[in-house]
Parts: sequence; structure tokens; C-alpha cells
Amino acid sequence: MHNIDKLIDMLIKESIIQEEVTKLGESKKMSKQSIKLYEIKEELRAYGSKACEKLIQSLNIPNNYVRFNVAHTLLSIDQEKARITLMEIASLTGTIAFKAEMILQQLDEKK
Amino acid sequence: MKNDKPVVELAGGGFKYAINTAEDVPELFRPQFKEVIENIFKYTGKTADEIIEAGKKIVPSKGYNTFPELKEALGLPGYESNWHHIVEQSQIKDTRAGFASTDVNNLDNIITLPSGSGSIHSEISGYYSSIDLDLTGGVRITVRDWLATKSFDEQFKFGIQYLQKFGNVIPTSKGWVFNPF
Repeated sequence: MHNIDKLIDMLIKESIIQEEVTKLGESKKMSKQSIKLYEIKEELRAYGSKACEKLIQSLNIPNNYVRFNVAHTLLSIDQEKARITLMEIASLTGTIAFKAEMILQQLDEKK
Repeated sequence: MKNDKPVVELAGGGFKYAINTAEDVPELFRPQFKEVIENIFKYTGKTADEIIEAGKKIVPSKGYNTFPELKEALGLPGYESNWHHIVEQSQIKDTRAGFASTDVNNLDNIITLPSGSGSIHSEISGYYSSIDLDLTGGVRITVRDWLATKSFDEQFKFGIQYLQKFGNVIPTSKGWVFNPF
């Protein structure tokens, strides 16, 4: 298992790649990134509140793919902060805005 | 002599807006152009549900058995553009949603999008072909396969919501019009 700092570094790096391949419409690479990021996020979630502070700090990184993945990870730890970020991203444009909107929609449907 | 008679005049929100396009828009196309511009003003910023509801009243519904037949009726999609099905053609297959071809290859399910490498059409098509574990809750299936379990209306709304992240989706009496941001 990786430590929190390492996992956040990985999350940032893979999110930036995710942005590049998504904008190019490269579906196989998009799938690969989704799987990589899902595993990183699962590891981070396993740390629970121990990862909370560093995740919240990472919400300020000026890249919407990074912010989306950090907020998505944070949903199970600090839902309020995660929601605010996802709502901001959902109001933007492109695939990442759509993904944020879908996550929020699914959360509302679960209520 | 320049003909500066406005093709479209719009008033509202404390301002009057007129478009003098007589030089650019051939007379034959002016009624349609006028409708598109008016509807851009009318429907910009509306929710997917509102757009879909308006579309049901405005966009003609005419189904075709195949995409080539629909394309023949539609004509060319425009410069550097491609036809895009809002509910994908792949959902006709029995292995997916099994929708009727006449529902999918229908005037009310088609829109032109900017195409080519790095275009909106390429990003959207790529996403449908990809696995998005955030959307599917960790299930390793493509967005397209995940959608196959949804109704036509749910897939249509998904398609409109996605398009709205790239531009305004405008209903007109000739079909859907996409106005990129």
C-alpha cells in the first residue's frame, strides 16, 4: 500500500494524463486512466479521515481533472466539501463538467 | 448598395439586438436562419429537461429504417461537421438496448457537431467508447454498454446533457441545432 503523499502525487499525475487523452477522444487510453485512477482513489479512501486534510489542500490545484478526482475521492470522507467542488466543476464546460454533473445526479438519486 | 435590413430583430432584457446579415445569408435561407437565431436567444441556458420538452413540440419526428436513408433526407452536415445521433446507433443492436431503427435514425435524434481530430465529436464519441468507472460505479463496461440498460428517454437526456457541456442545443422546426461555446 502506498502512503498518502505518494497516492496524491499519483492522482495528480494520472488526472493530467486523463485530461489529455479525454480531449483527444482516445477511448482506450481514457479507459486505462479511469481504471488507474479508480484504484488510486480506492487506496486513498481506505485511509479515511487520515487522508482528509491533504485531499482538501489538493482541491486548490488549478486543474479541473485533478480537482474532480480529488473531490470524487473525498465524497466518502467529507461529502460537503466534495459536493461544493463538484458543483463548481459541473458548471464549467467539457467532459469533466459532465462527469461532475453525473456524479451529483447519482448522489441525488440515492437520497 | 448594401442591404442592411435586419434579418433578425430581438428585444428584451433592456436592449434591442438586430442582426444585419443580408450580405451573408442568402434570401432562401433567411427564414430558417431567423428561427435559429431567435431560438438561440430563447433556449440558451435552459436545462436539459426544458430543452427536451421544447424539442418535442418543435423538432419534427420522422423515422428512417437506416442511417443512409436518414442522411439522404438530411443532406450534408456542413463544413467540418458530422451527423451525431443523440441516442447512439449502437443501441439498435439486440445485444444493447434493442431500440427501433426508426426511433434512433430519426430527425428528432440527430444533430451536427464539429468533427475531426480533437473536435467535440471526437471527444464525445471517445467517451461513449471508453470505460468510466466513476459513472458505472466500478463496473468495467463502456459508457455505451452502461447506457444500454437505460430507457430511450434516459439515454436521450444523457446525450443532451453531455452536448450541453460543449454548447447550446437548440430546437428548431428543421431539427436540432448545436451552437458551440
